[in-house]
Amino acid sequence: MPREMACRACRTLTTERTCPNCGSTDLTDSWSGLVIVLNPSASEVARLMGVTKAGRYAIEVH
Amino acid sequence: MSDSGSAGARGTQLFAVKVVSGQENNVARLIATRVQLRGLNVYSVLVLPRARGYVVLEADGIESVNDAISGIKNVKSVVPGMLRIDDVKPMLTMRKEEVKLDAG
Ligand SMILES: [Zn+2]
Repeated sequence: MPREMACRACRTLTTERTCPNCGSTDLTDSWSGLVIVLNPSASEVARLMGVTKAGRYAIEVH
Repeated sequence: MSDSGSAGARGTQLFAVKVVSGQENNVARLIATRVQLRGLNVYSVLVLPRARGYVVLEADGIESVNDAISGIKNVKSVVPGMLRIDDVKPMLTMRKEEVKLDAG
């Protein structure tokens, strides 16, 4: 599996060339930390990250 | 609104789980799949930067965590003593613009 890229705009992780969440093409393979949001409406972590969709996110994007 | 205690604003709790070093992301993925399959009350799974050997689960309580990790390969144990949401809050709310040193 190719390494996931992180969107610099919204921190979404993707193997696509365009961010499936926000449409940005500003992606980087330089990221660290991982958050898998499973239940955004119940998750305090998601709220703090400003995330409203389930999915995979980087914590730090460089 | 009380800001004390370990629970976040939504009443969730964080649990640190010790895992085999280097397997953090794999374990997180396996746990997430288990949670989805079984409909467990685990709301997010985190691998914190520079925290080798740990995965963090955000859940409604220890029973959901135990259900989520039991029998998962490369999981060792739940670490006693709860991680507080305030411990991870700075890195979750950190934006790129704030950490980047601006040479301009
Ligand atoms: Zn994005």
